[in-house]
Amino acid sequence: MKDINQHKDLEKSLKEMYLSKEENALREKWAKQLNDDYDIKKEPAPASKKYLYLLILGLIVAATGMLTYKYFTSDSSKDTKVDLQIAKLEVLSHPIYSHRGATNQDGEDLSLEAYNNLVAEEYESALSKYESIKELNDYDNYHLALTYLKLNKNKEVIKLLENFNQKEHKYSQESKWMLALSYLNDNNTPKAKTVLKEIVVKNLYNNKNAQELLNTIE
Amino acid sequence: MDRRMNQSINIACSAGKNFGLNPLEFEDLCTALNKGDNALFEKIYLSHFKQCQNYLIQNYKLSHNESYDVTMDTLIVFRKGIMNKKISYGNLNFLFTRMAYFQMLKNKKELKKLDKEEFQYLTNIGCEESDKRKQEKLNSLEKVIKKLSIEKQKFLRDHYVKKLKLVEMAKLSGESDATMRKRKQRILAEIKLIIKS
Repeated sequence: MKDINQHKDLEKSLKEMYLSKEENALREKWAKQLNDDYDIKKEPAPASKKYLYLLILGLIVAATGMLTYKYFTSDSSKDTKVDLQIAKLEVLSHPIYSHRGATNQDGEDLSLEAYNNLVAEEYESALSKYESIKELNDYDNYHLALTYLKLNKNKEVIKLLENFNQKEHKYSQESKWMLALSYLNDNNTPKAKTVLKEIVVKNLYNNKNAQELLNTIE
Repeated sequence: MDRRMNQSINIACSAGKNFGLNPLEFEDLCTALNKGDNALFEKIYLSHFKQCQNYLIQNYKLSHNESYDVTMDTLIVFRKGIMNKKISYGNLNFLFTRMAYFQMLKNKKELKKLDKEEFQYLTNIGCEESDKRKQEKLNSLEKVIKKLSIEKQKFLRDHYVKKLKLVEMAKLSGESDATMRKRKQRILAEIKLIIKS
């Protein structure tokens, strides 16, 4: 008798526990039956106004944070660095060689004039002259690409240099560097990375700057 | 008797007083539930679920989901009442809607002393406020039970869920009644020991 009384409370709790479990299982089962057989179900609870305001506030804070982050971190830094490198790009000059543009009769003068326009930062004039030359040599092609780049015509630069770089030429290394910058300027990061990696691995022209840009991208 | 109670009675009368059951069928329902067979209960009462929901929505301006929860809770309490023979045959429809009304008050935490007394008078079922602490206690107990061996858990389920008496369990296992009693005492003692530790 003593034993029975000793566990009376525990037994009561055990009965309640098992009953509660059974009832919870029944609730689930009936909810399914009501849904399947009688098409009765609970509606998804709408978010209360309080939570809606909190959600909107949260979104605003998150958006502001992301914009601030974007402004102060990698992306802006990347853009600044690319702009800086593009600004640094200049015409090919050599203390020994003179101008090495088109040598045919029609093109020679135009090529030199275009080159001079480019040096003088008269990009539109340079472009119209380069586009008038019937046969551009490698030297001209490089400078035409540079003209496009200075005019922020990335698609044209890319198209020109992708063709130009299919074969090895005298200005391949410089052209690769310009192509990488054009990809970055055109927000084509994957292709830019490929070219930059090639420049670093093969120790090509401007490989240190290429590595720096790669670090910024990654 | 207030206006709503009149409406409740009207609904009950129009639907038949006892969900279409005669006294013998109600006895069968009670027996089936106590044997763990819910099929008949589900067939009768789930088909009246929408009706009860509509009653709550029309008379007490509950939302769809509130009326769903109240009706579901009422079904659970009603089933328990039938199993424990605390609900008797008479006017089951009216009783069910009144229980739904009290359940609504309970869910809204608006159950007053007078309501509790009427509820107890009608159903002979205690109407305690659900206690969060009590639920937590039951959850802890469930965790303790899970620490017991599979055999001991089965013993408890047979005894408390299937409601087998120790004598019946002894017969089924071919052991003596005394062995069963001792086993039960040992299991309960072990549970207490785990709780204390």
